[in-house]
Parts: sequence; structure tokens; C-alpha cells
Amino acid sequence: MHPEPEQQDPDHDLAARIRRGDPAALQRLVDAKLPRIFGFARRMLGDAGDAEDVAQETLLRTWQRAPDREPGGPPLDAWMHTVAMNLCRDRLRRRRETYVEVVPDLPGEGPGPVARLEAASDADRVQAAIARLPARQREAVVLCHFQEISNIRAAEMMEISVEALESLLSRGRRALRALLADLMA
Amino acid sequence: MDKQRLESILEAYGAAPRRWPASEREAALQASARWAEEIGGIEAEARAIDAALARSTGPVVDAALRDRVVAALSAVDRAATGGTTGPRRGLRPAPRWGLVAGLAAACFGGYSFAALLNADLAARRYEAAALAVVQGYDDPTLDVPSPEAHR
Repeated sequence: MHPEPEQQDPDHDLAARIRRGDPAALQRLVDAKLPRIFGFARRMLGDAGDAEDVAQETLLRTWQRAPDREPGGPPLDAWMHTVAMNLCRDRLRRRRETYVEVVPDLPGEGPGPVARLEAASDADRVQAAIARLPARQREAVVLCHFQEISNIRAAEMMEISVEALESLLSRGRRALRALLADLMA
Repeated sequence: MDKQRLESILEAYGAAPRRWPASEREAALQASARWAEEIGGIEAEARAIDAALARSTGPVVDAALRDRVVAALSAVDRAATGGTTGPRRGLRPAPRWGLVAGLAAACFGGYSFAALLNADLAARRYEAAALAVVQGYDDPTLDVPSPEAHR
């Protein structure tokens, strides 16, 4: 374990204002956190519609539960990411159940996954590669690389040790290197 | 910091020091200068993965989503727990705790009423059986429960 010094919540003022129900803080919360949470959910889920739902529900819960949040608890940003991550997990679980039962893999209908990956834009290809990671590796990479959440905070959110988080990150990045080899050439 | 730890950091967090663990950042920077030649390959690979991932730009929030979220939050009555009326897109409704509490109270009331009714019926049966004994006839359908049962 390589602990980081505990830092004060950079959103301390915003958290205090939304706890009081300040109407101006509502706009500030949306402007500051909606793009970030939407981006997180989009990378976790791959689907824009689902990501919008998760982002909206996360902000709604943040606003609703603000009076109950303890001032000394997790930073606002980490708390919101934990809510969003759990909502994403629910959606992915439901999606797996639905797909297994309803949508069979039909060979010969349109281009295969590799051909679709090659035809997509670079950004889409990165997104597709992220989507192909195992769930826990994807969570680790999205939290630490894209959201730039600290290793200790990310490990807490995923309820694993920092060592386990680093293992997931290393394996995730190795898998991404293989999936995106031609982008790296 | 030894070379092996620096390599682990590069493989897990990539080549950008801002993503490295804060508590080890300074030591890792010094180690990376010390072993620049030895770790060159691993660092270059980490940088290449970072560059590939950087092609995924963050998704843009459109105005419609922003307006919908602001409307949903504005409609929240935080004094009434879980009371939201804003526009929501296919989301699960919040639990209605008032309804749950009402149902629980109704169940408890029904149980209490049934218990009282049962006690009253048992007392009446005891009175009838005792009267039958006093008046000298015996009804086999009436068993005489112990009076203690009604205390």
C-alpha cells in the first residue's frame, strides 16, 4: 500500500451550498459535475442514452441526499462517482441478462465486430476497446485514467486494495495495447 | 524507489506523472531520471497507450440533457423525502416511505383487532360452558378452558 495524504474536498464549498439547498448551487452542481459524470457513465456503458439516465439519476440523488451527507465523509466527486458506478453496474447486469435471453448472435448479418471496429473513428475504436475489457478492469481504467481519481480513492470506491487496483490497471492497459495496436503504430 | 516499483507505476498508471500516486510522485520522478535508459522501453510503451487513449475525447453534454437535469433537480422537494416530480427518462421511482408506513400500520391494526376478537370469543365460550355446568347439562361441543387462560 502506498497511501496518499488525505486532502480536503476540493468541492467543499459546493457541497456545503447544496446541503443548504442554495438554488444557485444547483446550477453550479449541474455545470461542474454533469459533464464529468456523463463522461464516466458513457465510457462505462458505451451507450449515450443509458449514460444520460445514469448521469441524471446521480445528480438527482446528490441533490436529494445532500442534507444527509456527513461533512467529514467522502469528497463530493468521489461520492458521486460511487453512486454512478453502482448505477452503471445495475445497468450492465440487466443488459447482460436481457441480451443473453433475447438477442442471439446472428452470423452473416452485416460486418462482424472486428470489421466494425476498423471502420469506426479513432474515438469510437477506443470506446469499443474499453467496452471489451472485463468489467473490473474497465472500472479501474476509467476511474484512474479518464476520470483521474487517485489510486486510494478509486480502490476505496471499488472496495479493493491499492495493490489489487494496480493489478487491474496493468492488465487493463495491456489488453488495451493489444486491442489498439494499430493506433499506436 | 527501486526500478521495479517505477516499472509497476508506469505499467499501471501510464507515463503522465499527474496520474501517479501522489505519495510516490516525487520519488518516481527522481527514479525515472536515474534509470532513464533502463526504463526507456517501458516508458515509451506507456506513453503510446496514453496517446491512443487520448483519442477518445470526452462526450459532450447537450443543452437538452442539461435542461432536463436542471428541471429534475429543481422539482425536488427536499423537505418531503423522495418527493420528485421532474421529468425523468425511464428511471426507477423513489420508494414511497409514507405508503410503506401506512401499510405497516394497517397490518398491525388488523392483527390487534383480530387478537381482541379472539380473546372476546374465548371468554364468551368459557362463560357458556361454566353456565352449562351450573345448570346441570353437558354440551360435548363446549370444552371448559382454564380460567387462567383469560387472565
